[in-house]
Amino acid sequence: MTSHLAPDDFVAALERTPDGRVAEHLTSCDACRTEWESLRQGWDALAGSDVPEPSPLFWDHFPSRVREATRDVASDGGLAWWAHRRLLWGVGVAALVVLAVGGALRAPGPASEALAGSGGITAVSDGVVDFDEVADLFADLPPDEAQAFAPAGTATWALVDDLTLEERAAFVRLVERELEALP
Amino acid sequence: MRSDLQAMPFGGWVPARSELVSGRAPGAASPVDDLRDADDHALVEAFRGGRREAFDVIVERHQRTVYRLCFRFTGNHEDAADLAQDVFVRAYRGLPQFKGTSALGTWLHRVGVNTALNRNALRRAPTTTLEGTDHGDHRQPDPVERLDTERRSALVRRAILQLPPKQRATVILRVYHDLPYDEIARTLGTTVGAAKANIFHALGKLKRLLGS
Repeated sequence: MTSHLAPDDFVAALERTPDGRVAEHLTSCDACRTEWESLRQGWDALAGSDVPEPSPLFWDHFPSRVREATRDVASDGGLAWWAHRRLLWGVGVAALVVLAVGGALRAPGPASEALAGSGGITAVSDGVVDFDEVADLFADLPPDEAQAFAPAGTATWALVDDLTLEERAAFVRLVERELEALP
Repeated sequence: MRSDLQAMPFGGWVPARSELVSGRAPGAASPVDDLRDADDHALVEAFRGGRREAFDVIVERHQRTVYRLCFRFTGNHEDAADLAQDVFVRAYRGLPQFKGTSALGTWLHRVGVNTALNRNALRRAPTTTLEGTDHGDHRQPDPVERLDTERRSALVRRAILQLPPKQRATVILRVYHDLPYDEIARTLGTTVGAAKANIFHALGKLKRLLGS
């Protein structure tokens, strides 16, 4: 079916009574008038369709449902800090690795002496990364979750051994920054 | 008349249902009493100022509009309720960044449409039944006429669900929420001309879906 009126014209005519050019065309063009009447019927069918009203109890309880759902959501767009478990797990694991790195670096040797001037190594050797701090991070986790993120023994030592001294120093600085960022 | 009490036919007063639901003692002051008469702008400012209960009032004020929008997208009560909850959670996250250049209700429409368009529920088959879950006021006294109206409404709702997402969103926002085309275009990230074309093509498709 060929329509001489553009879709914009039909839509505008649906919103209000057709007038001017559109009205004149509809009186003279059978094709457009048929199209217009069909669109009008569709529009009226849409407008006549209603949404079933839920139970009044639904409206009474919906606000508390939303309140519950937003409980762990910080209104600045991120998660509330106590709900940011993934960060805590990652930092906790990293902190344990730092302890392992710190233990390895405390062993006397020329390499560790050469790096003693870097802030990161000094912080570790001064015991800033406290084991109690790490334990606190894990204390909030359920036992099964904490186990899943506990260092896997020899795998962690292998990871630490693979780092160069410079890489270990950089890694310690990164972890210290993460720990400082915690509230 | 006190809003926390309702009169009994035989005389006397009992707590209003809202009071029973809230668990407050009748007559006890609510932490949101001073916010209920505030306009949307004041509620947003109160929320930004740290009053979490201001968002509760926003939910109570806009929950019906958001729910109806969500129902149009999902076609059933359970999905509509879940989607409406998601809309308000998104609104809770985004409200601190709300600039106030549009009305709060319009902004919630935008959040609702974007949430609905992103949600997997749109790709599920429509699950409306011809028997509605209507608990509301039935204004048509003739039960046959009412049943016929409900069946036609259900058919139309089912047909809407079969429209492509942007055509569906345009129809819902224009026909049921009376948003102007420029606002629809902003919400969908398109042009006014494209929004009008969506309506045109949606009506053509609905004609085929619904038959003569």
